[in-house]
Amino acid sequence: MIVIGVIYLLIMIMDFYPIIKHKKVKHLIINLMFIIPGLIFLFLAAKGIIVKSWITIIWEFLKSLGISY
Amino acid sequence: MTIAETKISGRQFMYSIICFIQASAILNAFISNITYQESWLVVIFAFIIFIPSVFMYGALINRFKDKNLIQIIIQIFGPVLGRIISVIYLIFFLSITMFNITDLTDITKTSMLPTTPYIILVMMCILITAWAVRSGLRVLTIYSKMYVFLASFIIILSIIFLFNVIEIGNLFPIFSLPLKKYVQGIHILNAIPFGELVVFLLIAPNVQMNKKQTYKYFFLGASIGAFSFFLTVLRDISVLGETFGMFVFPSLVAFRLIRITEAITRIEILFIVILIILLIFKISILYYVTVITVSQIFNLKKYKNIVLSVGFFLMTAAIVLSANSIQHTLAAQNGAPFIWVTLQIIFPFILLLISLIFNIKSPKEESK
Repeated sequence: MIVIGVIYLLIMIMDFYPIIKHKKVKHLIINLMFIIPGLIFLFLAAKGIIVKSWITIIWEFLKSLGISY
Repeated sequence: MTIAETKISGRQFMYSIICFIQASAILNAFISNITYQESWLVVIFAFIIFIPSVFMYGALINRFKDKNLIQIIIQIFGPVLGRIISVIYLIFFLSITMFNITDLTDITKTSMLPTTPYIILVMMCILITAWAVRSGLRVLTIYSKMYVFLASFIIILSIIFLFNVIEIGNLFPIFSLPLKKYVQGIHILNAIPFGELVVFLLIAPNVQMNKKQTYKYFFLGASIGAFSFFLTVLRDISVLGETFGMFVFPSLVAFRLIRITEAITRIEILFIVILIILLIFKISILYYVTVITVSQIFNLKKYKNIVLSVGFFLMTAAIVLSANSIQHTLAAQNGAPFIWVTLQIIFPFILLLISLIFNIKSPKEESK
């Protein structure tokens, strides 16, 4: 698991290098927009916390409105 | 402007559509416990109802020849409202990618690698698909033809091998269920897998085909895919009978019943292999579409630099948000069709209607 994690991290760093080198701020912000929530999810997964999917939340809301099978 | 530089042929586009439907078709559990032995009938009705949507997608592609769905939305609704709507589509694409990753890892874990941690399987899946997505659309779709033939060959082979246990009587009686069940079954199938073809609106600008070919390839792709689906459901029901609705993966159970001789049994590995191939293909397409959507929303010229970070998000979200395929099936049966169909069929129809009423076309079409 650690090996694959390290490989993923290395590829990600290789991907980040041209972004930082050419100072592509927009690309960096977009990358962080996905990485930060990803890290939060990873933290939750490590703690064993299962978050309700948005689709389940909407389904429960629709059910309360009577829109469900 | 299209972000992806490469172009694919119309045939590759068609084979990709077939592969895409076949990947979902093998997982026919969505309707198995709703319409039971009458599921084969529901598949036919669902596809007949879906046919106008195929032509609607074709019309939208032809009207905006060099634009994908997100660019069409931004052109029609303007940069602000267009981007807000595009974000809703992004959440939708992220969700279906995530659900398919969960499906793939679930079936791999239960059938082949029971002791491997879930995170490893998700990580491997993301790494492979990220590699494919970074290589571009041409590489992504190049083997679609081979996958279609392989999947079709295995479906036909399984029918031949299961011939001694097939009971035609298992397909009957018909029209014995309440009307609500048929409506639910048709609704679900119009959302998953047929409605999911909306993702091809993001690939269409990169396909070399004329107006007539657009309808031809889209319709042929959807029809052949639907026929494979029909064959799979027909085989599973005729083999499993009333127990069809009891299994999470009915096709896997049907394959387990194959006995060629006393020595050659347990060939369900064939099913697992083809399912993994098809699901990896489907996830790659969905992942590619998600990345293209992000790039389009933020007006990026290249998409390759964001592939891995989107993959990282998908990986962690798949672990935390979609706990297992049972939860996935429940959501797919009860809540998702209402939301999915809005984005897959109703909204593209509204787009086409607005573009027809106000005569909005892509600049290329207007200059003709």
